Amino acid sequence: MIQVTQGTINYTIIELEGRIDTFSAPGLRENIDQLLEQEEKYFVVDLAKATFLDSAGLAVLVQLLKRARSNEGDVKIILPEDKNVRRIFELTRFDRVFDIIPSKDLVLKGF
Amino acid sequence: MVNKTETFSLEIPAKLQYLRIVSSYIESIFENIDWIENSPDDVYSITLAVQEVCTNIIQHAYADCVDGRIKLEINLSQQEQEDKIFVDIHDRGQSFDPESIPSPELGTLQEHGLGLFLVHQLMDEVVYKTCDRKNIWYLSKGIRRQK
Repeated sequence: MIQVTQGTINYTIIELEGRIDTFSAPGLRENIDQLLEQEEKYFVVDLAKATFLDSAGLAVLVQLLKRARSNEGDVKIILPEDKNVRRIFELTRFDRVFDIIPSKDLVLKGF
Repeated sequence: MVNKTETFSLEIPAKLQYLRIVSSYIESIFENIDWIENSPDDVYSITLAVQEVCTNIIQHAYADCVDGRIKLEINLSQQEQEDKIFVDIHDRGQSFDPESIPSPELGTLQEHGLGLFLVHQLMDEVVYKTCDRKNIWYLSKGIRRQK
């Protein structure tokens, strides 16, 4: 499920829950494509409630980061609460590639 | 101590929409075998590794095939030294050479090649064998006994 809200500094917040995997990745990619076509370029991806993440899910996030940055935007990540899902970020060292923030409150209140 | 082995098998059409059946099957094994600790860490590692292998089979081994099938044989072995789970994943699609897949550049914006890397990180042993268009992935991992 994706919920999108606009922060005061025009970040688009994408909240992802449940499984982000090879089955759900195409639908997620389509939704992200629509946002990028609407010229959104600053994103916060909230993975706090993600319960499963595989390499296909990671690939969608990497593609989003690449496209956002090519439009001079950026992507911030809120890491999953589930330690096993978080571990996938750590194993692949994507926790060093993405800008990690503790919560979306930082974005909503403004940096 | 008498070593004990429980054996399970599952066969699915090689389609992405059925991979969650595989995850549920493995989760259910851990929930219902009373001598295994139902460790969320072990369940996650094993279900993710198996899903990554099955995804590769569907997208690559069966890239040109619409009616391929994947067969999983799962053995839970109670042993003196260490209890283990063995997951053998069979397909009859196009074989490949795992050595030809380069290791991913971690910490970069790499999109592809992470699946096999994760399999090796999450399982204790990963072996791929192929013969006469029969391909088998052998995955194994130590598991915890219920106290």
